[in-house]
Amino acid sequence: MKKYSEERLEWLNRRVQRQGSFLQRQARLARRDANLGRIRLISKTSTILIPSVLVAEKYEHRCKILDVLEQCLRSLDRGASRVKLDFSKVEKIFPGGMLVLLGALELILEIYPGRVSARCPPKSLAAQLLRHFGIADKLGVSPQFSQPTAKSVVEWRYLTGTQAMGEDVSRLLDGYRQSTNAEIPPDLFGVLTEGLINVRHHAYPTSSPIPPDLRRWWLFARYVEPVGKTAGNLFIAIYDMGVGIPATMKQRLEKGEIVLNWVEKIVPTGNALDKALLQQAVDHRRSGTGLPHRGNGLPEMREFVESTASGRLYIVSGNAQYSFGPGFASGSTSAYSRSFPGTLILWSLPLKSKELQA
Amino acid sequence: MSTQTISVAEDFSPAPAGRFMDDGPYPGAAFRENLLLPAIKKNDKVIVDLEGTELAGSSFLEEAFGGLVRAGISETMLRAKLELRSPRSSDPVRIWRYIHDEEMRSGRAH
Repeated sequence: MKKYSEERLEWLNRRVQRQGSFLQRQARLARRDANLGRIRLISKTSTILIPSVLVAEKYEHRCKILDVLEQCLRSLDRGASRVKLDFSKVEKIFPGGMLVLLGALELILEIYPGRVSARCPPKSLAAQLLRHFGIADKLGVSPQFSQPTAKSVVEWRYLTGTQAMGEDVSRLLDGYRQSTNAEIPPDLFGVLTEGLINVRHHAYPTSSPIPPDLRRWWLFARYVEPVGKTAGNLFIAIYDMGVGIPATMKQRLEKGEIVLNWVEKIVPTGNALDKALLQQAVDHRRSGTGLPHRGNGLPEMREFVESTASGRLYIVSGNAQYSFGPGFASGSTSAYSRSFPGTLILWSLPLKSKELQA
Repeated sequence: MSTQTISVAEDFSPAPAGRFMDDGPYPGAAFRENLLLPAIKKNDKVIVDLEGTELAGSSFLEEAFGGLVRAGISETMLRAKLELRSPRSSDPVRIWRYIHDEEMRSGRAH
């Protein structure tokens, strides 16, 4: 027989009791309605299972997150229905995956307040992360069983906003600089703030129907301390739900791209244009504005990762993904059939302890 | 000869970021318009000290310094008036590159 911890048993018992009282109440109301000859509208709750691995830089896993968000929106769109997100099968959470889910959830909770809840095993990483990022209460997750205590949770940092908030980014990096034994690259501040400025300038066009206070970016950082000769890691992800880099670039297509754009409308080319445009944006300092002194942000991000020993950079936008790092020496761009909502930029930076560097 | 020193960290922000006025609280356009440009117009020499600041991104530096050329001040005049101090050797190199690139684009350079 499977052994459960005391806490798990307690949680299961409470769940059974809750379900029991809920069913009793439903039966009582149904009896009353039958006596009164009324037909009662039952608000349906759809339970959506969150995938076991939350990672965004791998297409198959990314699609599973997008499936969850699509199911969630479809259910909520059906009028009276509610959605319960089931985190009980979640095993691994990576910054990009969590960021995409969290960013979308924040907006969904603003649009459909009180209609989305979460089911998390007590004290699970998912429960603690939802509390740590401040949406546990909105999702009805019990504070008693979601206090962030795990080291792997409290080391996550989270920022969100609509402007390039340099001082917030500086405070976030200072937090790591003061608590770590590793050298945080000095250029990181500039690279991250450029990421936020890109959102500000390109992600949400002025004609966008999205209200200004919802034209947001979300930033996650997670730090793993180096131990001895084993390098640590700093994972940083910036996400926005804007129009995406290829869509911005399509406003100023060059000659060959105009032809490709036209061909794509007639013959499926596997999103070759999105792929080409994302590669251009990273490689050639070409801005969606067309102004020659703009468009430095993405190439500088690539140069920054190039300057680290084995750093990685992933940019997911529209139907394309750019990957740079060991295994993708000169940078590789892939096209995918499923479009990604907005832009996700992910850095994985290996960090060595200061003593070893000296 | 009048000289003014601008400490970016103390007189503006230790964490400047952004290009345009509405990009955030401390963007390059605000630094240029409120501090740098008036100081250059008023003084024979302006020292910009970047000690104590984060290594700013290209949008801030380009708009603050490259933007001086777009505002009508030539690279020659800036070379004569502007002195950059920073604990990072890369800062002045980047700033002069942004100024020079804008000068080339403006067609004033020979």
